[in-house]
Amino acid sequence: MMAALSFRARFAALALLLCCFSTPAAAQTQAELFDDTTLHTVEIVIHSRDWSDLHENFRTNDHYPCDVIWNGVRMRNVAVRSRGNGSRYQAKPGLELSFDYYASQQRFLGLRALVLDNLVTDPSMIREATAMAILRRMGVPAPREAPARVFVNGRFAGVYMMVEPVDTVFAQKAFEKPGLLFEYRWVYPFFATFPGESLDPYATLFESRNLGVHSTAELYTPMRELFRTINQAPDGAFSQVDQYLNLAGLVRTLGASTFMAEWDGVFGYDGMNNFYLYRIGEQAQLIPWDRDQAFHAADYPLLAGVNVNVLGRRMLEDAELRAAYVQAVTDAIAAAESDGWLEHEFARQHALVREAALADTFKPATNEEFEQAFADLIAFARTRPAFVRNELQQLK
Amino acid sequence: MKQVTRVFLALCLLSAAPALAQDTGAVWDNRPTIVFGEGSRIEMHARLQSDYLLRNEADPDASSLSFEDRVSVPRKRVGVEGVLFNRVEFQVEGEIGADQPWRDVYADVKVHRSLRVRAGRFKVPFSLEQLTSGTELDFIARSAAVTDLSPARDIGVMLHGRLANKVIKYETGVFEVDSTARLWQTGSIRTLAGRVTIAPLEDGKSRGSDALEISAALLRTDLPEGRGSSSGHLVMGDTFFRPMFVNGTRTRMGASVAWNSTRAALRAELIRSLDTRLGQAIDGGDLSNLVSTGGYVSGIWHLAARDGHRWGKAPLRGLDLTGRFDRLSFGSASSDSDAFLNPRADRVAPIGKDAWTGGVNWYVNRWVKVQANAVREKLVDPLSLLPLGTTPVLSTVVRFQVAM
Repeated sequence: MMAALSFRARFAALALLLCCFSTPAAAQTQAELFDDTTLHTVEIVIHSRDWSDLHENFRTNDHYPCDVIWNGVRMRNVAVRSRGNGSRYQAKPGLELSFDYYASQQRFLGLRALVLDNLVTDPSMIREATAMAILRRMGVPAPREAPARVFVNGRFAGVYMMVEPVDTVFAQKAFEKPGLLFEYRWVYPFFATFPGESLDPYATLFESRNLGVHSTAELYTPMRELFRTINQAPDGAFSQVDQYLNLAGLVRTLGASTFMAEWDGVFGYDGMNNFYLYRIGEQAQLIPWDRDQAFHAADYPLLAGVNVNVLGRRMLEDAELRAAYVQAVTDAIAAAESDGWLEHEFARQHALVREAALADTFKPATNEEFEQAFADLIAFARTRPAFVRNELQQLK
Repeated sequence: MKQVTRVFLALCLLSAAPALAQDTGAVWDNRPTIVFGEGSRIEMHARLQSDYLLRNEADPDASSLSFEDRVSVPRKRVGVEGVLFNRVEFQVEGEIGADQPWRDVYADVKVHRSLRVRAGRFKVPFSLEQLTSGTELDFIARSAAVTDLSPARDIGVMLHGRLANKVIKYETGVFEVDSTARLWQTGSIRTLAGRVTIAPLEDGKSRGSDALEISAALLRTDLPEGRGSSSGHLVMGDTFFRPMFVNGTRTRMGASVAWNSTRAALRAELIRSLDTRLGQAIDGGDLSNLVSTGGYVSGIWHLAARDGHRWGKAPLRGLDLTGRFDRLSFGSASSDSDAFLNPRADRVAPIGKDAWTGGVNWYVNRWVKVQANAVREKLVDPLSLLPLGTTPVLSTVVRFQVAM
């Protein structure tokens, strides 16, 4: 048959075959990975002893080698570790897949890592993704997320949320400039007081997440000046802080977070928590992280946690910044209410994960609690805007 | 440690029979010494080393370190050594303030002119540089190949001696690697060691005028399943090659040559280690052997002899100039898949380190030595897998040592 074909026809057939075989891997993009209209499937191939050790040592950050398969693409030479703070859970460990841990230049679809959030602190399993979606709707750089069924060595390991990690790749793309990235580490209740002249407390609170070699002075001297200015800027001159922290971005994030009744964030009930700072030159940008405590109560006071924090209190004492905050909350209400977006988003995401979530025997919540948590979110979407509007009136 | 003590005491008792004390008393023989007759003596010794870090380019904060942060005391040891009844040599040495204080704790019994038995805790006979006392080293730090590939001290039993008019020296023994099971118990993790040294000149002299030593050594160690392969470090301690998962056996081969003359000395050593990795692939299959290779070439020029004799216009007595090149590299036997650095990689990506060391040793007197070393290290990472980069880094350290 082939012999009967002309050379040109055989060449064309060969070219077509090559195209067919080369297309699938090349077509994958980050947008497809974080497509939150699909319940993805992620497969992890790992030595059985390593998977057992990871469970046993779930409180450590030990890395284990594995292969990861997503959408027909197999990524080799990946490191997986248990992750999380309050969400560390032995039966269903939160996971971080690092693509550059064993090879500093290795990337997967341009990513250095991928977080698999175990969703154990959120019975509804959709708070985190919805909160990040609201932040993005308000123009705040926030990680993209998409749900996934995770299989380990062929066995179902539960429903996870794939989360775009906040790293230098994310930050540089979001702010379009190279800078230095720091992850805030909760070690004690810290309310933005001045930690002092020594750089050590700043290094404790803000973990450097940068590649390359940097001296302690290079990393933390501007951080010390930030908190010095927050605490010591004269009344009426609080805008001096903007030299070290983008206050417009902070106010925007704060507006969205307080609307969402987030109680474990920058102005958390037990001190600051769950954020990154990305410093370009001297000025840092705030990046929100881990919003699985959002939407926890429709009547949660708008400014709970803000006034006990030096940064929050002094920011709202500034008339211009207070007005900007009111506008940010108003925008958040609008983003949630527009065409019933928030309620629809809860319902859409719930429908997406429901079947797999009910089959997830590793989650700490019962199936009844899962359904009740969804009902609570719907109630939140319906009643929170009115409550917040009333609070805003008092603030104005 | 109880086992070591028992063995030590038993050997002492076994050898006690022939002796009769003659002149007895405390004397000063370069150190406090107690003499029990003609064939027995106990010497006390102490060693203190203190380092001062002058420069460390790998640490961006090094330039702002305080004096206290620059000073370290890597060794502060005290001990006794001696001989009993011309038959039993012994040594007990400990590190003050260390979690595991015991260093050398052994007894060495002369059975025959060419056969001795040593038992206790002591250095495994393998590497020339590792077997050289820390106070006698020509450099502040041992080469990376020796530090990372050669065993140090373990508990064991060794037969050793000299043959053929001392031209041939042999050492062979068995050691327990892990204290969870004793050497003689089932399931203990053991090292079998053998080392042969030929000293063809000057009736086996290893020091002095034109002394030459050529050695070969072989070790075979049980390797329990786990992340227990060799690792690679920079001289200041940073890790550039993390341990791989291994399972099976580790086979180490070593060869060395040392030539000492009155004016200069040359040394070279080569070490190769093969770790089996049975069942360590992520799918449970076998991985190819991990191959670790390293060595060094060093030279010492005695600018001024320790005994006061000076050559040329050397201003000080006891002055040496030293230089060394050393290399340590990791890889694997496999070459038919993608090369990775993850601890279950079949083909291990080639990673290594080259280091040049230059230094000065000044023997102020019999007890005091001052050393200064500058080390220039460069990572070898042809696939650019490490985040550290391959820019050479320089570190400089001065050591002050008192040994008695």
